[in-house]
Amino acid sequence: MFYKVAASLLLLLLVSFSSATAQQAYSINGYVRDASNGEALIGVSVRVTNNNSGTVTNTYGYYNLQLAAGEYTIVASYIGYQNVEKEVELSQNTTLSFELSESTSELEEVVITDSRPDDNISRTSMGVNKLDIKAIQSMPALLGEVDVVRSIQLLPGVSTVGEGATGFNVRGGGIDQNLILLDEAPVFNSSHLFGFFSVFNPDAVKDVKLIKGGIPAQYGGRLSSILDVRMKEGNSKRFSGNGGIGTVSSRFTVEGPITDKSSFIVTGRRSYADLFLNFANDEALRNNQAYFYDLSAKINYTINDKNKIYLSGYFGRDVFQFGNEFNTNWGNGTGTIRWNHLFNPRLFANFTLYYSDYDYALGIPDGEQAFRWSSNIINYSPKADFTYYLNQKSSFNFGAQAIFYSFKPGAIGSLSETSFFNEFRLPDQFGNEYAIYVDHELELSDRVSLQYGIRVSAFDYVGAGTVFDYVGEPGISKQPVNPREFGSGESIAFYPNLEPRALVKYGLNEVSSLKFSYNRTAQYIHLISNTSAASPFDIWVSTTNNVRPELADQVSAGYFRNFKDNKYETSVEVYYKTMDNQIDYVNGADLFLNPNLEADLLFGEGRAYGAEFYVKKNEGRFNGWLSYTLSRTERRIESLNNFNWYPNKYDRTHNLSLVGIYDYSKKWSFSANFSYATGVAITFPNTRYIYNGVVVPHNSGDVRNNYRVPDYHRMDLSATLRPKASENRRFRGEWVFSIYNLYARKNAYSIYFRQNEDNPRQTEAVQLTILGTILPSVTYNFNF
Amino acid sequence: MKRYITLSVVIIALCCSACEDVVDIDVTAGEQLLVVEGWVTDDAQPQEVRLSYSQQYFDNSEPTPATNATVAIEEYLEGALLDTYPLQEQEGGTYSTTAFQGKLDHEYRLTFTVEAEAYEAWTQLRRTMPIEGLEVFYREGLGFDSQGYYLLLYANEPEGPGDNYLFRLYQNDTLFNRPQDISTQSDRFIDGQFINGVELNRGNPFELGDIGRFEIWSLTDEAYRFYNNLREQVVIGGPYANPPANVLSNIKAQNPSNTIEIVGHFGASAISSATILIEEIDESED
Repeated sequence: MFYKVAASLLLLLLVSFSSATAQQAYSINGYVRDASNGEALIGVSVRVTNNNSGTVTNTYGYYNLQLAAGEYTIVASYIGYQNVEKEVELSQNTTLSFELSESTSELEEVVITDSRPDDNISRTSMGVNKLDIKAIQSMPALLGEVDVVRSIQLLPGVSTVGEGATGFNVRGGGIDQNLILLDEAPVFNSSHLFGFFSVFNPDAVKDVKLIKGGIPAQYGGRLSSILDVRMKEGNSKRFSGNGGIGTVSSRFTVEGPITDKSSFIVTGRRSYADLFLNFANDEALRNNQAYFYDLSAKINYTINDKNKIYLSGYFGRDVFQFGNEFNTNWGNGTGTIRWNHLFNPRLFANFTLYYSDYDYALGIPDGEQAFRWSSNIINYSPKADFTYYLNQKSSFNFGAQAIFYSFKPGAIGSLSETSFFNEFRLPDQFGNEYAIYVDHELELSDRVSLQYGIRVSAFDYVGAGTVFDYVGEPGISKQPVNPREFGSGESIAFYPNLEPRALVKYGLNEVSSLKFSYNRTAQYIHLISNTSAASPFDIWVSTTNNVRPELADQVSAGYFRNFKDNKYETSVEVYYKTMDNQIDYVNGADLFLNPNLEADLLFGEGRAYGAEFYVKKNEGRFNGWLSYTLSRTERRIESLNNFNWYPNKYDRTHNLSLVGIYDYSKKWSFSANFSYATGVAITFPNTRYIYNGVVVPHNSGDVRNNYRVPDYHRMDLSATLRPKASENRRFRGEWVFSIYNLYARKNAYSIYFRQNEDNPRQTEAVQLTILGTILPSVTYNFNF
Repeated sequence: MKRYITLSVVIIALCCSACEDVVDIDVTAGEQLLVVEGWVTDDAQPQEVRLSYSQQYFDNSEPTPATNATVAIEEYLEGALLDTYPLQEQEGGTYSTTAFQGKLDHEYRLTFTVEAEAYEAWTQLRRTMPIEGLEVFYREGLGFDSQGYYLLLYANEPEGPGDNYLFRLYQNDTLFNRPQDISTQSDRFIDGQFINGVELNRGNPFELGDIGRFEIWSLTDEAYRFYNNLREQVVIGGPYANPPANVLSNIKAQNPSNTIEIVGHFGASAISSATILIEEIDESED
């Protein structure tokens, strides 16, 4: 079945190409770059004014237009940049590259009347939010740490389980259902310091795109969303640098050309609160460590106008040490090699080879109880992606990928001679994920365009290993039976899946459109976590003979309308999503170093639906957005909650964000944001009993998430001061003052129930607040 | 092992400006549960089973005992019934007998009838870890630790996997019995090892003249899981707490249509114990 579908896909492709030669047209193709630093610009609108057709640049800044011979005016336009117009007389394939300059004169009214980008209504995509890194940098940040993931949480359809929690939830999906890509390599934990800060150093980031619905066939492997983060390539025009000294961490970046064909960027960041511990009088304090750092580097080399190579790497880590008592560290590492190749102006290809891992360790460094516990997930993947521009109205994306996983669910080693811990290692798991895809973007008429495609994916859970079946009563830990041995590389379980994707755009008029989409997604790796918020010590596990792939089907519809010559973008999107093979746990599940982990897993289904309202003002001295989401996300799991639907912890009925950025003068700019969300769902006890003198809370009827913590709301402010720099010096500095949680709201993270410490017979409810106070900070940024 | 994870996240979370406030919450009324606390041991104490009813969550009165029950414990070895011991009702829902002491590897079945409904539970008395000795040392206050006398445990974990233990520490006959004092260990990572001085009373220093007693109770896998679940539900808090979930009981109603929820556990333990008097120690030993 799997191979048949794969073969038919290839056949379909060949047929499409052979028909391509029927129509004679010439290509205008090229790259769009930033004039100041040579960075390729992603998603730039390139339009032909004569017939009002157009395209957008791909993730490498490449575009291609197919036109009959003639004279044309081509305009490249991009938000925050000045439009560039070029005349071209087309009589053969022509290369036409653009360099756009930032519209720095923000205080002057920008006087470009026609062809302002109206991508959100005209483009065949929906459920997509792009965040400009400059906008992210302008927003108020927690303790001055500019944060990609926190900014994402202000977008419609995105929520979180709580203040400073790892990851984010998209349209009712779990945090492990987001594919977070850093230069195409997946990042398994997006957080530093347990979720307070994200792992992306903003100085290295060029472009951030979140895809929540209408997911193109090119992407797969996670159910809910794609967060595509692209790193800067490095200034190809001149040597430059920038950095910042903040309350929590400092950053430094250098970039520049190596030769006229290559450039580099290296950027690093480290927190330094722990450095002050070295000055402490108390020896116990001096022995403590608590810091995080990340480092990324990228080099690109243009071999010729048809070939370009990129090499990028990321390495980040959190380290904690409490004297000789306890230590822990965790981090992600990724490495990507990419080769862009232009077979001809119409066929753009990118070949990628990446490596990515996430690991953690914790333990006691010394003494009788010394041990080290470690766990990791490693994967590497070759991947090829092609875009074929058939004609002005039709293009194909197709490609293939293989991902090789190895999982180390946990191992214990003893560290000292005197330690009484035995060595212990859970068996490693291995799996191979394969995918091929094709999708077709087609403009049927001025009004109707569509993108449809299919992704065929499969997962092969392979040996070596011993596998079991699990039997037992529902709701309690099961027993392993029927052990079977498999040799190295031998297939234990194979799961193929067809993932159809489709999106239709119907233009109502110049300023509004309707869009509809359907997508199916499959996910083969799962994050095992049994804590209220994800922790760095959660475990990634493979799909196995007992754990089936997670599947999701999503339909969505949207109405998009722009006002005042595209100055204001508005949209309403509604979605309904079902999720199969969702994972949960028996009461009292033992998830760590458990050789029979699967005995404690429960499976069920999920559903999520909602409406997202979004108003965005793109330009002018005052810009920003308002987003409101009304939604619900629930699950139904065998033997939990009496098999009734119950809300997920991160179900937020109302979720509102307001972001405003105001450029007051050349010297001062201000920004503010406000968030409001319904409190997370939580289980409260209704009875108590005493066992061995300890008061135990109990929920008779075993009802889940039957209460809500109080509503969440918060306001932040920031102000940026740019002192006037001397004309002939390149060095520029700015001060950023920010206040997090302006009115010191004590937002409830959770509420729990316990016996009173002094009077054990008395029970009490306790509200836990994280960052329940006003947090001011100052950051100094510079560039040269 | 798991508590190291809990420990680490709690410590780190504390550094991250978390704060706790007692709040007023209304919770709905729950159904009444039947609560069973029963334990067979190999020491010379009476074998006791306590039956009571649960309370509303914020009801701070003493629980209501379940009286007039018929309670018995049956003793088995390798599936063969050896004897049946009826338990006599004492005050406050306690039922006891001195007719037997628990024996190694024997299985015990608890049966009781309350308000015309019959219940049962099975357990087994497993081996425990013999204690070689206790030792006292003195620590100056440093960091999180306060100054005082601390106990060290020396013990031989028996060869062979599958042993689980509950630890109980007494200061002058008073059990450390706060939720965070519930301490269990399986031999999964320490099988057959010599326990070469593990600190027992971290955070609870002893004073000169105190008498410390330490007990190791053996647990079945089921009882070990019960105590771990219990601890997760009573030592709760912080961003990385386990979500609330009911602690599973090993007591079953004999009539499957009985809808009363039963909580608690019936278990059996071999107990090893050691006692030490806290006296002035020779500093040169340190």
